[in-house]
Amino acid sequence: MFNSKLYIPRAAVISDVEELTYDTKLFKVRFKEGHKGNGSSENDYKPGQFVQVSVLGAGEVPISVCSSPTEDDYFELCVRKIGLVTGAMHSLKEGEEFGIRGPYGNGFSMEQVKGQDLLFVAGGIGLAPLRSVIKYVLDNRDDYGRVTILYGARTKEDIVFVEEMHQWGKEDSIKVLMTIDRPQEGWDGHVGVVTTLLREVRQPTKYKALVCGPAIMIHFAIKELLDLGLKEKDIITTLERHMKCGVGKCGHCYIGGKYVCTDGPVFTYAQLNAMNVPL
Amino acid sequence: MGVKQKIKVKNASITRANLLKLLTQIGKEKLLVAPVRNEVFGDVDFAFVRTGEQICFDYDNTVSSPKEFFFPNCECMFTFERAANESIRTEDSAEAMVLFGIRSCDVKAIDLLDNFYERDFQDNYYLDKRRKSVIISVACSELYEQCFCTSTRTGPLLEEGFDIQLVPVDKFYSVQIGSEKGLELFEEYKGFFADGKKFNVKEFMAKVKNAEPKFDLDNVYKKLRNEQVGDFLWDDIAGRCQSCGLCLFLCPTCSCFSVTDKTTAAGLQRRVRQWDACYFRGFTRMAGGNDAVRNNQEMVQRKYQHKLLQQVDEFGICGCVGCGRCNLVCVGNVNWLENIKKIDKGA
Amino acid sequence: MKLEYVPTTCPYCGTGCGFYLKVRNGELVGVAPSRTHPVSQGTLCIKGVTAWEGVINGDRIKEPLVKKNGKFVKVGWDEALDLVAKRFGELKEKYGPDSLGVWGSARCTNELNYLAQKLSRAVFGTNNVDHCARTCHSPTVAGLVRAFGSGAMTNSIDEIKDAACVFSIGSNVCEAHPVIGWRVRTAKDKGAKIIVCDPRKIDMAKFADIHIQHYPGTDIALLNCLMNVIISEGLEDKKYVKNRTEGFEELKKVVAKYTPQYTAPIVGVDAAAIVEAARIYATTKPASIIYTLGITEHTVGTENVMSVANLAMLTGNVGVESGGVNPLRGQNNVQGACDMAALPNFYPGYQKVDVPAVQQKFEKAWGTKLSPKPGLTITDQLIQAREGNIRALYIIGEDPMTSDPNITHVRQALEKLKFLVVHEIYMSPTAEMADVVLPGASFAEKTGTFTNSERRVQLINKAIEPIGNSRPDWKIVCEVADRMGYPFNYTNTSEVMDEVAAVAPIYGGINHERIRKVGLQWPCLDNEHPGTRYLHKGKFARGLGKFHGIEHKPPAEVPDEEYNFILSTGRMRFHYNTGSMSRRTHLLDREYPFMFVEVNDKDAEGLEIRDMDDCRISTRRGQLMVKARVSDRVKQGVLWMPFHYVEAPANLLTNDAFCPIARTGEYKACAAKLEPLV
Repeated sequence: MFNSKLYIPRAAVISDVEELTYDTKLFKVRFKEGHKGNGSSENDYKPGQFVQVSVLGAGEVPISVCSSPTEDDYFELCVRKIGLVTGAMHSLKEGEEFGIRGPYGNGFSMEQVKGQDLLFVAGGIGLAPLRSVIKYVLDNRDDYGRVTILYGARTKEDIVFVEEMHQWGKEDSIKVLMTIDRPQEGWDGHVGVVTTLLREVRQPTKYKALVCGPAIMIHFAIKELLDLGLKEKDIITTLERHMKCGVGKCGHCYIGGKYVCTDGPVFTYAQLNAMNVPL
Repeated sequence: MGVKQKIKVKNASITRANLLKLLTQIGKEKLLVAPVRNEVFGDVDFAFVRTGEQICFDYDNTVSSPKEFFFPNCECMFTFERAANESIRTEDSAEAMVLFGIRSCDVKAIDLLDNFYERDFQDNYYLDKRRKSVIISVACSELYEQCFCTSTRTGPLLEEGFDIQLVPVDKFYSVQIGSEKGLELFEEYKGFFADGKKFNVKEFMAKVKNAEPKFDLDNVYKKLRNEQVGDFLWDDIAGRCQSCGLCLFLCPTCSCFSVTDKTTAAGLQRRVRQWDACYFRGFTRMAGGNDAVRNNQEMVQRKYQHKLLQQVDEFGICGCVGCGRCNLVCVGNVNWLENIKKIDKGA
Repeated sequence: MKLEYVPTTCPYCGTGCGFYLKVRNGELVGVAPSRTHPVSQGTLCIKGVTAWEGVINGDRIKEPLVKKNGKFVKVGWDEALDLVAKRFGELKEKYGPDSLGVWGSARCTNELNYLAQKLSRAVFGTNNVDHCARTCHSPTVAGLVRAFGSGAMTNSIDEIKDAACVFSIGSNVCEAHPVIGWRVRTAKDKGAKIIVCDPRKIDMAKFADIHIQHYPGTDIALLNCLMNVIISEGLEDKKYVKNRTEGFEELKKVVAKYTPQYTAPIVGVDAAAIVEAARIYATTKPASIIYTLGITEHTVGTENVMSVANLAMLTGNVGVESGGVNPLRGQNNVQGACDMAALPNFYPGYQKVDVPAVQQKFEKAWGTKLSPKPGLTITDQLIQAREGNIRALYIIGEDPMTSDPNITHVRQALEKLKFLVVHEIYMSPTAEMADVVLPGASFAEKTGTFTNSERRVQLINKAIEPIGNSRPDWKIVCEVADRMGYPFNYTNTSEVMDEVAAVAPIYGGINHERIRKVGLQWPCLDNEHPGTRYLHKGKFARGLGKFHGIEHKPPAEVPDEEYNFILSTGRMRFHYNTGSMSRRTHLLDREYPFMFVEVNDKDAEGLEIRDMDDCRISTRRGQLMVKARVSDRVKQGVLWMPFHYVEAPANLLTNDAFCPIARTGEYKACAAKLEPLV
């Protein structure tokens, strides 16, 4: 754990801010000097985990860590400005501080998918938690099979990590396909919702699929993947929920007998079915 | 909390007169919480007392549950200044307390909350206060109109999971010790207790008034697990519930809370946690408007599934302890007990 | 560690629930309900449950503020009070007493209101004292006084649950008065018939037996039609009409033309529904009518009330248990503020200002000459302020810049004043415009009384010390009076209430000791009197109940080519009035943190507006950019907005057209247009 006391944030500093889109920023975060917390460092987390980020005075929200723990000395948070706390985060600059608690959540089980082909289906800012896995896989390339990344955004202005995706696509064993919902001037790539890209995937049933994006996109993506023959246990997603504590006590993220913050946020579709989670 | 074992103490008893003296003595030396009747409106609720005379013995159950003393309506988590994380200060505000007069159902509820706040991550705000408390509970010799502890198997008497249990027998109380903490308190005030006859649970239970269970808990569990509850029950409840939150705020097993950063009127900046409840749409709704709960029918089901199904699975204790408080507070006339009976009978 | 439960009365709506404020180490930390309280009986709504949080927010005003060079400067009490006394004295001297005005507060105690009107009358020398009942139920007072002789809720809240029929018109009781809505729900669960008349599918309409979804502003036509059916089918209570009323023939003549066929197109409702409702209401007894601002907030507000009274008398439902005409007062102490006569035409206890014997009685009681001229309502004070005739206002706990219709005109009025003093707990748009802001203490910080809608006078008990340097408003008023040469010598509010009891017969037997536990309902004439559960038993306050024949008149502004919708405004469950407390409460604001306009789904489709789209709503007075909430809740052709959001005030759009008798604004109907914002 980064923080030594359960509900007390550990001081962290913003070492870099990058504007990804008109409402999304990427923050590079390092722990503040002299604030050891319980001694753990910035890469003591698993892909798919999240942290509770505080802007003292505004509040605290859960944000997925979108960097890979294979990167040293920092972790990254991709934040969309949508409410009070994320708005406060957006007003902060390099050198200013957040409070961090975590990392929380079960994360993606990278051990379990070793040797497997991985299909990433991401919509909008949903790419952020999946980026953590993608970068981990790239840093441990030999441990994993084919990698296909399907990404969709509403408009080209909504696309996040566009340069990175282009970089990833340059690798031989990695296929990256991007699409936007409707035709737009200045875009000559694929047009249509991200599920239309699934037709381009060869031998889809060989993949383990990791899906993340707006609720409606997850719904249709999972439907398509099941239609293509993937098994329920091989479709994995990560859920977003209103959370206050991140540690399974406040009750806000509780659904189907499970706490998304401790039993999740990563679940297989088989598990979500058993929990009766409407998708 | 408290070792779950039968502590071997020779059978003890205490008269009402000595109990008053005992409580007065405890009130002099320690922080004592007991039921008190408000002299204006007349409701009975837990309060800090100094003497046995202040205590009300003539009540069915208190309006609020005793969870207030471990999980308060509103508490300061920490203070801070100007958004600086290094300025965070916590208060160690947990004080040692003796709580008297808690009913068996509420003790069972505290047991459930102990399990809940301890498992996985340890919630120190609750646990610090809880560890410093000792409970002298009082069993009931009758079930009152709103009660149904025999249906949820959480009363009127406990066979384990208590510190000191007083059971009213004739003109005195049989005293049972159920934990190390209880034993310690008993030893400290040994002089007030006397020897007593061996306590016979079966004999006592046979005399408890209105003890017939009002529903079959196992059947209710099954109905909920197999989703055999008609939509019209959820429709009815959803149509009545007006999100006042009282049924859940007063519930002795409810544990949900919200956290906000506030500035007090005196200018102190604090992170505060306060009671929250799942019967508000804002409870699950995210900043962008997305809500995993799609309608009020799904919202109102949660209480039933969580308490009567999921908590039974997780803790082996029914999440409802049959105290009946929620049936006395609803502006929509939602009756939790009647609804459970409907689920049982196959609504 | 101290944990106390302080019994008190809720500061929000006019239901007057009782609960305990939980106080830990001198701070408010929660609320616990009271099972034994006669009004709330163990229940509360979420506003009551969170009432502890709304008054302790960090931005409470803690020091007196004086505006110097356009900016507020914190000053000491003496400086602020001296300035107030001096300026009012100067302006009184220069322009005469009637150039001044005092606004009492429906949110503050009876004791404050008594002293506020005494300040206005005995110290300033004017009857220009009024308060925000003007914005809501003054038509109730005016209308029921004319029909029954007394302007208050006739029966008690708890009686509603035993009614065999509940007829609700212009009232959203489950949202605006949830604990009264509980009684309606209980009545329904016991088999009562529920008839709801409202342009929206409000919660109560969902469990009603009949929902008449009529256009805003067509209540007279609807009520006349119901009476038409009752009379033509011979269902009226003939004995009651004969023995207890006068004016029936006139009524009969007027309602003759309001047949179902004639009325249906006016109100926009099926004739058959109206007929059925009439039959049920007339034949199911006892029948209780509840109404709220849908009836009063119109240019025909007083006449709407008289029509309601007509209907009740026609069927013999006044002066009977679980029957009656029950206006649900909106605020915690609007009933009390009226009783205490923060009103331009009455002395405390509804004794008229222009009756010489009454004037003499008060001159004797207060030891000073008083004005025989009835004063101006807040409506007219604002109009006169714009004209330059009202020079200074002393406003206690009210925010006309958010709550009065046509805010643009309100701003012009306040800007023209030479001096404006405002008592507030939080900064408000009105306080921003003041010359002096005096920090008041909230309901949790003082002891006094509130009177709820069923005339029950109840105590609020001090639970915590006044925040910062704030003071109970009644004390502030005393200080001002003292400095103006008329010492108000009271050591506590109990003494003030004793004085009220001495001068207002209906409060004759009310004192803090007697009301300590369950309160007392006036009329309570002396210390032996047990209070009065329901009114007009046996005979009306005025003797015979009076029928008035009233013709339908449309609202001042009706839809046309350009502004083709009827815009109506109202309340939500989770917020309260101008939101000063509810917007600062976590669990309340979380439910609905933003302003919106409710649109019917068929109308929205035609305009290509979807749920949560941004859109622009405009009237001839202004425009707002808000989110659209699309559903079938509101009637086609009607738009509805709440008025709880200071940052997007609905009253920027509403029409300052007023009922000529009661001077209440037509918040419930004006013409608007709606456009999507791409």
